[in-house]
Amino acid sequence: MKVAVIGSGNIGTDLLVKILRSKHLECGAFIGRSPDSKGLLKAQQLGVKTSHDGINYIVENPDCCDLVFDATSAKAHFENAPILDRLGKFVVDLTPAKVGKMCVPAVNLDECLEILNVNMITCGGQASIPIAYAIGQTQKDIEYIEVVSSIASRSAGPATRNNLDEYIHTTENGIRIFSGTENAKAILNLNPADPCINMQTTIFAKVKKPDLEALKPMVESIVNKIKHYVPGYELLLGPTVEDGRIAVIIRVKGLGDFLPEYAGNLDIINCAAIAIAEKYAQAKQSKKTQSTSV
Amino acid sequence: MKQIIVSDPTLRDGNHAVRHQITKEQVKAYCQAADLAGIPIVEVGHGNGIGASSLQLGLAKCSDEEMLTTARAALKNSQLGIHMIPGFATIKKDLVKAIEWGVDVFRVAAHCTEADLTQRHIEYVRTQGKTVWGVLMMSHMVTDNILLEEARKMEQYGAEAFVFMDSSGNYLPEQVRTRVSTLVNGLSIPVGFHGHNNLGMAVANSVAAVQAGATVLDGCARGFGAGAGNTQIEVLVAVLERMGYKTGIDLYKLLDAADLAEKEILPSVPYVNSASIVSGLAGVFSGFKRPVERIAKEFDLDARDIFFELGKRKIIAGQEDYILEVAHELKALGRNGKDVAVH
Amino acid sequence: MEKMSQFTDIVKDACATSLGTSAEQLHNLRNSSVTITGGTGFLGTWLTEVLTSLNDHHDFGIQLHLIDREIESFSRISPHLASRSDVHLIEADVRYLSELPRDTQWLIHAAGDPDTRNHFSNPVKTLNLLSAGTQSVFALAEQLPKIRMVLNLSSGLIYGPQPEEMETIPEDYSGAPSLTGLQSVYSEGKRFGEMVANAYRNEARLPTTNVRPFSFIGPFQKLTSPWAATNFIMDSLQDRPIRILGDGTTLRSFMYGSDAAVWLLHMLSRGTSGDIFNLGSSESIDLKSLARKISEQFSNPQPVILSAGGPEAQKRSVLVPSTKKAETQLGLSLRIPFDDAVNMTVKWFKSQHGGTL
Repeated sequence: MKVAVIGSGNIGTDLLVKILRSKHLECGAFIGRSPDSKGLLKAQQLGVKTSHDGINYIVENPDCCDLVFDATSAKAHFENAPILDRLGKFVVDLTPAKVGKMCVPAVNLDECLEILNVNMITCGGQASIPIAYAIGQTQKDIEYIEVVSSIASRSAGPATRNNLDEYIHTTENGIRIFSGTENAKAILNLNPADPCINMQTTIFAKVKKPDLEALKPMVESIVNKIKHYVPGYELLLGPTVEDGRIAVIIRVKGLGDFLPEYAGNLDIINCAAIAIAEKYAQAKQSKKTQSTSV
Repeated sequence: MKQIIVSDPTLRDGNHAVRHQITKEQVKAYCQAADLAGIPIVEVGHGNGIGASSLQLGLAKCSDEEMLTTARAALKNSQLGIHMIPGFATIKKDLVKAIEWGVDVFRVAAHCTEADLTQRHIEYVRTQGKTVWGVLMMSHMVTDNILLEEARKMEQYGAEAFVFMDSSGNYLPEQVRTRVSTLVNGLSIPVGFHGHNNLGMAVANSVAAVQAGATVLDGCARGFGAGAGNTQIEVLVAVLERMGYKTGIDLYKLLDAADLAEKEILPSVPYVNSASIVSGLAGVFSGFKRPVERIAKEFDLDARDIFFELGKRKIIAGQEDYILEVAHELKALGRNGKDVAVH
Repeated sequence: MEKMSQFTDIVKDACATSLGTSAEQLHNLRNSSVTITGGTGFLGTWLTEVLTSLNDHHDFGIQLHLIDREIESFSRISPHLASRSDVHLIEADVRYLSELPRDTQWLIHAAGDPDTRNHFSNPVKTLNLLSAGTQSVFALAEQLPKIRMVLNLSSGLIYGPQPEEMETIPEDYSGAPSLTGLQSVYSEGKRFGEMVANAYRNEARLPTTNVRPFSFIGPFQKLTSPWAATNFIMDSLQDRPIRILGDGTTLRSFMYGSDAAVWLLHMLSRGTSGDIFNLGSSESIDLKSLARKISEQFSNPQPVILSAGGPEAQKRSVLVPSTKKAETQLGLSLRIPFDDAVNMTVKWFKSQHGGTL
């Protein structure tokens, strides 16, 4: 299936590398705004069709893709979303615009195929929500869930820094919705240590009677599921009960495709975006086979 | 005679020492005493500031609202201050409410290299017409010039004073002196120092800061604070008076307030114990003392080994979850609490 | 509606005062097309006010193109300008523009973010906006068939620190900003911009003028901007004493927005290629007096001085231009005295905010 990427920054360029590796996806267009952007240069070197005409390129060449990854900004996505909707494109939104349905592949991949715009929430959300979901599924009387992420300072660009509050609000909202818990809290630390730290996320839960027997296998299976699309996702500790709280610690190493390896926080969101795109491609393929066989 | 503004975070930093269990009654009693003593700013809240009550850092007994409204009612002349760390608290969830509850002084804080995280929060408080300061934590981890560059950002955003914290109690007076000189010459806003006592230097460092041009100092009753404690406010004020600085604080009544704190709030007066010395040397946030000691016990490890390992990994304030991971790893390596680490 | 007309009246009157009888001297602008990058900022908005008033009261017949990254707030604050048929808004980032309006005869390059907070938070982007932005605009200007002058807005900060013994900085002073630390990101970018203008003047024979703006006061400033005057007005609108950082002896000078726009149009249409002009007022005032003047417009307590800084920081900071060149070469003068400028500015903000924020 042909896909397009809008946004030729670091995230978009890393996505491109992942698309080129995918068996199910083919990059129909890599689109930026500035003709001399490093991302566009890289794409040209990789032999990919590029444009610096922004969303207009897709409007004028609607056949270039069935699915669009939007790696621009929330502001741009608000403008892009209705246009892409009109064109009938499936949109995987990597901006914090929150226009579409929240998508965590390990949890709700199938539901996400029902609509045309999915949002990848936040890096901390992608790392922690599957665990929070497992806690929600196996524990009774959950009072509270908290997720703490530490990321390398160098992996947080100006947009992340300027939107720290939104990161927290969005991640908390995701935890609440997927775990069914009313009370959720998200915390983000930026650590400038050199060499850069890997992304690490700890999920804490306060539960009346922790049931580790039920939680352990569920966490194990969901971690395995995530590893399929985020190879650097690793269960570091737990689930365990310490000081009256359930604790699970996750580490995410990046693949180092275009982004550096320490940027696991950016890698996980890109890996998740590819997972939903591949699923959509497969669903489309099987629909086609079905209809031709009818 | 030069005027020094002394800000008192007893009811904020002290919360670290009691696992954030300070009660409403304690807040009320100490605020009344501090107000009587004429302490200009009384800082109140969870040890890591507003919105920081969490499993990561410890759940506070008393909510932000309870603590701050109680303090507000008890403070007649003193200003009410809070500490706020972007990443833990947000404008919408916390700052909007703090303004409603009558907070006067907002100390927006970040790790020493991450000042740009505070831009929106400082701007917000500034446009709401409240006093806002910039605070950089764990400041020993960077050079004088980098600290100045980060402080300048906060000044540009609208901070009306800049405070740097010796969050690990790692500084020696000479370092503080050169650091403060660099800052006062590069900034046009007042410079302040927040000392920790891990190496017994809190008062000496504060004196060095003032001599180099700082005009804001933090101090806590009996040094009540994380780890080995903070600069002891009643000693600090006495020393400043002797040196000829003005603080506007009534020493007798300040001593009364400190006595009250010891009787009503402090389970034990902070002192420099072995773990604190190690955490100061290792450059680990003093607030880690309690959780490290707890986890060391649970895992049957030597707390000192954990501190040095955390220091080696450059773990910063807020990353308390790493203690658990480090303990697991040390345990796996077979440290059984009897070995003495060689560093 | 009454409020609305009250605050547009303040602006219209100011334009008429600043123009005085000099409209005819601007005859080169008649029936021409003017393009302004960064056109919806403070100076862009004032230029639009003056140019449209030339159209309305002197039949100038100017077509005006405003290019800016963000035009929404301009449309909100100045709907009377945004809705005019002689004003054309183009939302674009000058770095990524592929062409300028082809009929442009007069081009003012005012794009660049003057917010010092952003210079410190995003120094890389700031440099890129100034360098790539200016290079892009000049490359496009070179292709304009009818271009008569490109006026590049530089900055008074390019001189670096003003020597204590120098009362006002003349255009030929060759000081430079310090390269230590981050504080010169903006001024260094502006210096580079002037050299881009000089290079195009020489190599492409493009007529260019460099203008170095200093400090301004007036409607359309953002109250949240980190400038002394706006901070003081914001403090006052919030019914609290003005807080002055430092010892209050810092010297600045302030030019009212309509005077600045009129001067710019003279420099644009009457200067010769290669000219350099300071833009501002040479009448200095210390911040303490400025604060007093502003607080007098309110029934608020006296300003408070927050004294701080070491010997280095306490060296009196002065930034005041000499305006002799503009006065002698172009016969310009300030039409709005400083006291009136403060009164009108405060009045405008009061009418806009209804006295509160």
